Amino acid sequence: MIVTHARVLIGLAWSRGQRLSSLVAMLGGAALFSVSLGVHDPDWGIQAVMLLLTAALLVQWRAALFQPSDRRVELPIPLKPQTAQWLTSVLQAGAVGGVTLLLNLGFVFGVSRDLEETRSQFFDHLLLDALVGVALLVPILVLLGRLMRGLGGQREIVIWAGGPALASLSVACIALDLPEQLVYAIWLGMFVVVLIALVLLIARMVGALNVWRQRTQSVNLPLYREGKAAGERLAIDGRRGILRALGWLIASDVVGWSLLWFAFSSWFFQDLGLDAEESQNLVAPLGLAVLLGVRILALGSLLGQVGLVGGLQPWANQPWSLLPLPRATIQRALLQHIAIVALVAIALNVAFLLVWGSATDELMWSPQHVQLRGLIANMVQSMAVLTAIMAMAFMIVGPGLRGRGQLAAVAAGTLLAVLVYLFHMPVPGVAAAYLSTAVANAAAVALLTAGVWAITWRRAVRGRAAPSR
Amino acid sequence: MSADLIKLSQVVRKQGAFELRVPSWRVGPGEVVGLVGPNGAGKTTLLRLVAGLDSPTGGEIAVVGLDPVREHTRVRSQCAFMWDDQPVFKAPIGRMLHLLSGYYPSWDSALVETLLERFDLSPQATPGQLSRGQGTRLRLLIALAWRPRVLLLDEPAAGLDLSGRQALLESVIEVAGSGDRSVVISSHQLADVERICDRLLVLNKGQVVQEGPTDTLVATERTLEEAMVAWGAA
Repeated sequence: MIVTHARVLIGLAWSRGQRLSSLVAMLGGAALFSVSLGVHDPDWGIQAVMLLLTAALLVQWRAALFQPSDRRVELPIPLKPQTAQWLTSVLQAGAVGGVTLLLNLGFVFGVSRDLEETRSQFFDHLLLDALVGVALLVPILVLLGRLMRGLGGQREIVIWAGGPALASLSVACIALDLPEQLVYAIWLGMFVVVLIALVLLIARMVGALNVWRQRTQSVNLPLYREGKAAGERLAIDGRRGILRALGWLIASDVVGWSLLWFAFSSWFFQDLGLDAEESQNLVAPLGLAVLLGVRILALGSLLGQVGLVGGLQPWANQPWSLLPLPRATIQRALLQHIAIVALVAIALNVAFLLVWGSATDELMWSPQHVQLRGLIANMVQSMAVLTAIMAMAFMIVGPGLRGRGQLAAVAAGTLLAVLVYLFHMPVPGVAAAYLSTAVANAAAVALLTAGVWAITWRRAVRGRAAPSR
Repeated sequence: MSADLIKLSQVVRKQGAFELRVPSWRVGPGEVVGLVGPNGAGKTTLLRLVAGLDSPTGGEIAVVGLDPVREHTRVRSQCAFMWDDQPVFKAPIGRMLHLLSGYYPSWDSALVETLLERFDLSPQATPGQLSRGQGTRLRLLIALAWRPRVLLLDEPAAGLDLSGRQALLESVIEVAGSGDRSVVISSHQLADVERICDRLLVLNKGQVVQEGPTDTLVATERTLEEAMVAWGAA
């Protein structure tokens, strides 16, 4: 009994006959975690998203512990739900951290065939990487778990808005001359926390705006529209949702990329009589925040819904069951929504690359501009990878990893993403250096999407009732 | 196509150690059928099977002549299923009804206006602001709003005060009174069940204990509650 509960706490639904899924989640999480922590040419965007992806994989195995009603697993010790959630996160992250360490040690030894080298790598950075990573993974796990069941309360927002505290800590690290890697990891954590806090606050503001709008609206009932066949109505509502999300995405891209463009066009600031470097430092993060924030909102607004529909909650515990449609149909519509938005986001990244590349070719005034072009190209490349991986994370969460087919699709997508990241896939042409990752990631997303669609379509065609309990 | 709105034949549903067995059960148009039995008898399981939310392990189920799992959309477009803790979208009632109305071709706006008044619900209220009883009223309203041919109610009186129960009974009688629609009510409010149900299906531990017209099953000298005790299904 205690062993079963411990497994549930760690997040492995071992007792539910999901050994294969549990193993894939554990190894997948550890592999992604390895990419996140074991790469010594750090890219904060990718590392942050890898952490998110790892957390997304693990959160699924919370279902057994955090089901709201009769499915809840009783813990052997009396714990408040929030305490249990934190405890689970610590154990989950610790378990993945441990496996990650083993994987990395195996990899280092396999490559070097030298025990001394392996030992040195372990103490020099692997242990520290894993510890810092686990520390970062815990709050992300808690947050994702919360996000899937709706936004948390004010207290959580305060917790997640703890960026300034981390910033102070990192400044202290610099002052104390701590290892660069530790400082870097702390900054990464700060980035993730601030970003998430930003998303939560925006969501809160949107919610407050809606409440205000409701209060000021007329008390008359809206005119009920004529009913249509349920499938037709879902398609209409889906198209509207996609258009709305794309509208937000395109608008934010125009603003965000414009800000980045201006940020790295030093002549613009010089013309205004401003210090170019300081202005860049101010404007570039703003542009990135706009781009990332809207991408996360556009893709993530449905994350919770897809996760719930996909299997994190019984069908009877979801408002979607009010619609006269099978679970698989709604799940497929939501996935389609996310996939389209993700692919358009990637297309926008690629489009910006092309425009930026051609524009800077004509405006090549000085070595400084060449350097700037390289800088922005790297940033755009990171953005492409980030968008693609984020989309995959959402898709992995969405289907709820049900069945071997979905497992295979998810595993293939994840593997491809990792391969793309480690060995940039070659794409011929002038823009190869910039485009390769974006194109390959788009392919990875497309592959994953196709896999998931194929499975849900097959399930719908078979006419099987969606798994409900 | 069968005239019965609900028809079950040799239905078995296994859920872990629990097993529900219904050899035969029919619900005709205009009937109000009470589903009674102790906790864990299989009432909700049976209603979920009829609504197509779960598949039977064996046997056949037809609702309005269709398989509720394979023809899920067509069945659910004619068969409403309301249960006491059914989640609803977190939107103001008016907006939620507006959303749902698009999915049901038979949605009746005039009826919704009447029901909002009868159940004393404000379109501006959000589900989070509602008490348990008000939430039950809202779920009832959603189930009734599109005039389903089959109305499945699982503990519809949970949390309802006296006026709420009266409104519920009034609505059920209206539905059944149309003559071409039927209602199945699972409830522990035995007095209400006895009062409005034409027929009963009594379950205990997944087995059918009694089935037939209420008047026949419940003798005139005793109540349904006493009969349930006598059947060992209290």
